[in-house]
Amino acid sequence: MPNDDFAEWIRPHIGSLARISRAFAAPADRDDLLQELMLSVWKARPAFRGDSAVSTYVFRVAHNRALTWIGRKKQQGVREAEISAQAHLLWGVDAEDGAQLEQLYAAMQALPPMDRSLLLLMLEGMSYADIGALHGVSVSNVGVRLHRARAELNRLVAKEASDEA
Amino acid sequence: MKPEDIDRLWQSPANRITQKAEDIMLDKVLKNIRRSRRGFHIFTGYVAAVLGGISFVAGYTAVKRESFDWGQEWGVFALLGLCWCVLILIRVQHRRHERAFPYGHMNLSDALAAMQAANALTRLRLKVMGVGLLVAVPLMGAGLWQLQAVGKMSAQNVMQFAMLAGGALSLSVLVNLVRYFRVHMPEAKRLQQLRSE
Repeated sequence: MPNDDFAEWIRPHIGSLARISRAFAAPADRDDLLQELMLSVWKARPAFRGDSAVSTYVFRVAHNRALTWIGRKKQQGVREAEISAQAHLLWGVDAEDGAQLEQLYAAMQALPPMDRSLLLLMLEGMSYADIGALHGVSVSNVGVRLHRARAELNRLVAKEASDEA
Repeated sequence: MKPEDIDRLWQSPANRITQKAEDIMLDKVLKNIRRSRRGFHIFTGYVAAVLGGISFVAGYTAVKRESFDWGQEWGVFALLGLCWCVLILIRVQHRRHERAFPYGHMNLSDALAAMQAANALTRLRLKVMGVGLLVAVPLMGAGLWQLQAVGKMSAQNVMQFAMLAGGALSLSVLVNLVRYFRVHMPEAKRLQQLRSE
């Protein structure tokens, strides 16, 4: 399977993968996790049979990988400085939204990984039924857990904001 | 922050990766894939060339040399055959591994269960290997003692071999212990925690 074909196939989903890496990895490791997620999708692509939307398949592979990924946690300070210096190249520029997003991602990282995954999928616009299928839980369970996770996220975001103020 | 604020923020341009970054990331992953493939092909190609050279010389000698005794010198061909088999096996395994993310078709719950089972199996293998290595020590000692007793090895030979094999065995045990306690046990705990969530 030619790599150029893969490039066109994965391109519409790189943004979602980048957001997953931002929610699951420390700033210094985000680049590595994004590469790892893309590599996992590349490896998993031959098994895609078209029985679900491409985005659902990509999310499934990426969340599977992100949940079990362990960052390097080395030279964190040095790499974080490098990353923050390059951040404007990676993400859209809007100082106010950018700062709020950092608080949001920091709050998400404080959530348990499964709740983080559920919230990410919901924010990416997946239906409860698709989220349930991806997580292997019932739709009602997704609803209950998301309700709790959102409440916890709101509390954590408020805490992040007050810590920074 | 209200839920609608979070949704708005999530959809905002500040949460979109730039086109330039998208290109860079894509280029990087494709380069990594190509580099990994190339490195592997160079390595196995080099090994195949060396093995091919040795096989050619061995084959040529066996065919051309009248004094070659197949009955007594077949060992080198068995060894070469084994090396070729291992090389082919490595290539096949690498290809399978390169094109497989085994948990792609599973939901998260099943994938975590499968990862936990794989982790348990790996730990079991390490335990079996550890026991095997520990059992090998007295067996090796007994073997050396017997060889010395029947006069096929001197005390000095026994000592040298015991030191060499003992060092190799100790290193293997150490590597397996580190893998078990530093890699696979924490992984098992992490997977258990994820599943319990």
